[in-house]
Amino acid sequence: MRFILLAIILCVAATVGRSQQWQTVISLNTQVGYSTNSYLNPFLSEWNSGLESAYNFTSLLGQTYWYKNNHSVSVTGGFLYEPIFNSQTDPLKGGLGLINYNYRLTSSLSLGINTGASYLSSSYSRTLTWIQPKITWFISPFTLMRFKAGSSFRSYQDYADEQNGYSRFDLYGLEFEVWPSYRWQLTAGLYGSLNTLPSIQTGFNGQAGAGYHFRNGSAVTFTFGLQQYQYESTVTTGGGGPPAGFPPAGPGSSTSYTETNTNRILRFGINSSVPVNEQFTLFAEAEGLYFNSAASQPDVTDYQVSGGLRFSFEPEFRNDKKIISPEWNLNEDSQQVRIHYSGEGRLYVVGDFNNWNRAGIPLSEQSDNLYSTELMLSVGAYEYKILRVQGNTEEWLKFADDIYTVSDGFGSENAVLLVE
Amino acid sequence: METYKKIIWALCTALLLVTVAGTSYAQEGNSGLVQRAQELGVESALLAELQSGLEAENISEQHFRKIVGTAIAMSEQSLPANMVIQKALEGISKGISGDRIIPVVNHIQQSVVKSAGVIDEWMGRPEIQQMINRTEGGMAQDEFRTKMTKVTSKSIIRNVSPEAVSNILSQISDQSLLAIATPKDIIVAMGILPALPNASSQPDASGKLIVRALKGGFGADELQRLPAALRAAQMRSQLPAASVIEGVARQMEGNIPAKQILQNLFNGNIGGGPPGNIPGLGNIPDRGNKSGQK
Repeated sequence: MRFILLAIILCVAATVGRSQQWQTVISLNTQVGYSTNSYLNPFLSEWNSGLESAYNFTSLLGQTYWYKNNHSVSVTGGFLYEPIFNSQTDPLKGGLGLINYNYRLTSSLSLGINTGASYLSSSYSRTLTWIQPKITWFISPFTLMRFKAGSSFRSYQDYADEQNGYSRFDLYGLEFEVWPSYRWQLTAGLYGSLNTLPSIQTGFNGQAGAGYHFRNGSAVTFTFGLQQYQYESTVTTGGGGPPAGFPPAGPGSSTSYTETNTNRILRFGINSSVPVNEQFTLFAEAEGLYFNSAASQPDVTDYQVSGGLRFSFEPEFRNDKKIISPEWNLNEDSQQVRIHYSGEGRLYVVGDFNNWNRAGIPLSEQSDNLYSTELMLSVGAYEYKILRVQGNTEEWLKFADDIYTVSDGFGSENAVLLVE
Repeated sequence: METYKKIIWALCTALLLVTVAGTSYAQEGNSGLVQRAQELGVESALLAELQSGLEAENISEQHFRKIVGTAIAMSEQSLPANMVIQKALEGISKGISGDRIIPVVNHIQQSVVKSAGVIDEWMGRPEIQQMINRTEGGMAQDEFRTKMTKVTSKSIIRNVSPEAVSNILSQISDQSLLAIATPKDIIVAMGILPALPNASSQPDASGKLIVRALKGGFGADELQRLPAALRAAQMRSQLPAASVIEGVARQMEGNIPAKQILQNLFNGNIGGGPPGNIPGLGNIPDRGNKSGQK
């Protein structure tokens, strides 16, 4: 597991270093909740209706998204910690790593692969790994359908009982998503084991959701799920009478037959999030389940409620000090430009507004690494560049990806300033 | 059909101008050329800068004469000749050889001619005249024509077809928009056209976006950030450019504040199609199949 995490961290580092077309988000989530079944636990998700406890769930995750041409990769990794306040249970500790690759084949078709691993440790340890190729069809700009199929591996070790277990599941998923308007997002998914096909009813997990997005960035989502698992068992009767069927058994004789049992889990949930500001988001969720089994009585009802806070930010990994992001602001009648630059040398603005005279308009250092100047400009679109001068060396600085640039016709890029 | 005729006429004019610029001034001295250019309204400061380039041997005398000749030919057609001299100065500033500057200057000249053809036709519409002449936020005819010609030529230079520009301008002629937009707003909004994906192949979508941006109160600052935000949204959402444009237009229609639309775009959330997979609630811990094992 450590090797997987290390590999993921290295992948992130490599991605950051090699391309400017990337975005990284670090997110710290912490939530407290109460659950009556660990199946509803956000990290554990293992059936234990007896584990009724309050819990805290804290995660530190980083995601880097890289794209170029029709390729995109997101790499997510981080650490998870979950103390269960039931004193008999050790805290859960672990981590996860996900890699999601997509290649846009045509304007309506995308191929990709999801792979990942998660590890948790308490009084036992569990490792999950999975790999799933996928194909996404954009039926319309706001409707997509995705099919994925692959394998998932689970290994389990209980330290106390010295139990070891290893399982492999070959799984499929069919997902549908539509945005009928900007506000509404509807989703549906059907998941199951490949070996149940084509008899889907022998085991599946169906999910549906409806989300509403408010103008201030808040969102509320309602979810519904139905899981169904069927298994066969042999029932032996000892003269109590056979089930209806043919041939009829004689009186008093012992007979056995196979019957199909169906377990169903119904799940209902609601989750919501409210952005407090650009970094902090409050969120809350509640979910209930109803388990019905023909073989075991009584039916089981469980729930979980939780709420918490998420802190997210985009760290600056700009190793290249020569990449700049000029910020323009209207200051009374003049345009003020501010540039954060930590390298050496003096900076000059050169562009349409000074007839591209290389002598340039000097930027003065206002404070540590912050340079600025003001220009009087009339309405229009102006192209410009920033020239760095150090001794006898002069060079044009590159612009960051979030700056509006156009080709200059000479094989380079100019930034564009729009003045109203 | 009328538009195509004008465009063909504009192309022929451009060809003629190039030929004339190359021959008519061949025998005229540099000082005579400069004087002629000044008389026709080319900025003296620009010409002086260009002459400095000549003196510093950045460009040859032949290149100088071609550039000034082109500017004169454009001025004679009431076109913004300063653009070609400015481009030449940009090339000199960047250390580009005269041989490489001349084709770019010619390309700009041709684009400006095409742009002026489209703008002149558009400005002939009564509703546009009414907007220009409005007291509040109005602008002099010549100034507006020059600025619009300049700003739209920058799109044509970057391969947005004159037909597409014409189509987009037609959409801007919408009465409900003209009632609230000023000439300045329109000049600024047209400034983002070179950066809109598929502006040439799908002018309708680009036109709608510009119209909705204007109606949605996008200022110069927000418009300036829009192209990069659109690029980020397209990559993050893995959706085609047309879908992204449509999604953004939809957000604008939904009266979402400009600042939030830009943030949504940078996060890959175009308001249609899958939002960006920001780590956090709902994305963790994905087990690859979303199916728990009981």
